[in-house]
Amino acid sequence: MAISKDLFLSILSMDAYNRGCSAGLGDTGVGDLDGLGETGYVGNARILARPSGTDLAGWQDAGFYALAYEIAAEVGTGSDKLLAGDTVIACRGAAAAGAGRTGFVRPRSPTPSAPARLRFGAGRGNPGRADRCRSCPPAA
Amino acid sequence: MSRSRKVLAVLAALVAAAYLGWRITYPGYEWRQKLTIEIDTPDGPVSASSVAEVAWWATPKILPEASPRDWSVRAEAVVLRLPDGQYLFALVGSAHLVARAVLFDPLPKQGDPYLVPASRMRRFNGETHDVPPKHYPLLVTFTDIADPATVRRVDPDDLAATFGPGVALKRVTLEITDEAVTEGRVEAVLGWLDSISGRLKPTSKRYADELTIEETLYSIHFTRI
Repeated sequence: MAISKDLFLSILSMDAYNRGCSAGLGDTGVGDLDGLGETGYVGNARILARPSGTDLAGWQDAGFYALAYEIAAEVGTGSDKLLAGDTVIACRGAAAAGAGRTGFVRPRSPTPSAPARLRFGAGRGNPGRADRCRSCPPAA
Repeated sequence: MSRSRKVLAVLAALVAAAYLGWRITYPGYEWRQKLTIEIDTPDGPVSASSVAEVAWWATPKILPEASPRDWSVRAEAVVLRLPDGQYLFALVGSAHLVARAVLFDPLPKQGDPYLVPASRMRRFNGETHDVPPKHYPLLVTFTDIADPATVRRVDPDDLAATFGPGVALKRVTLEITDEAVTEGRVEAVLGWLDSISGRLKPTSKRYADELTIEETLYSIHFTRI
């Protein structure tokens, strides 16, 4: 069954809440810290590796978390689709930076070699969660 | 009593009542746990421990998909120095879940599956429990302790493959304790840890599922103090 592009982007936006530090979904195992894990696919979206220089500790200190996905096969209906090769970014905990809303932007590709289209979903998270993940004292 | 003092007293009582109500509605639990690694070597057994502090607490579930609980951990890796000078690190990993996994199998059938075990954790104070292999922390070492990119996973079933003949993991234990949280032991050995912000072992791989375990490691896997 085909789903709309917007529905799929919404799923990816929510997916970021269930991975990484203080993921919303509980991890029933003890093998990792990151909820659903940080690899694999969500439907036709494959999780990209973070750039090696990513300051993950800094992200956690700032209460920020993000994932990038590459679309493996087109998603959507009609003419409004995500195409294979598109990159989607979903993040949470960006409220402090003024991006405290869920939405998507489509910047123009600066060069033909740049990714054809870039999607960005910014969600309002619980700003305190990732902080506590690192070192904050318990609230109770 | 003057009118202003009465108003202040009433306000203070209201604040205290609100705080008490909050604590009752959204309780929190914390404990300290000591993870100990024991290994056999040709020169005899050696062991090392690390004490972590874990907390779980209930949170308001405002939206249907919101988590009703949260957690925090202060922990650092267990640092074990072998007689020949090599180091074994048991990473922080799932320090917030390991006590629940070890001490509550099966899990309580009633109540929150995380907060109920957390509320009962202190009952095990002073008891030492073996950690089953499936709940072992990730073990790593460094080919060159001065070079973070030389991090290597260590097979808990075959320490000899990494450290040489006669070296074997004896057991991993967990104890709920009142001891102080250990700090600074990792940095004392890995002097570069605070200066690393990215992956310990950089990679140019495109997809996350192509990464090796070593390529997924950051400084936060060694210390979360």
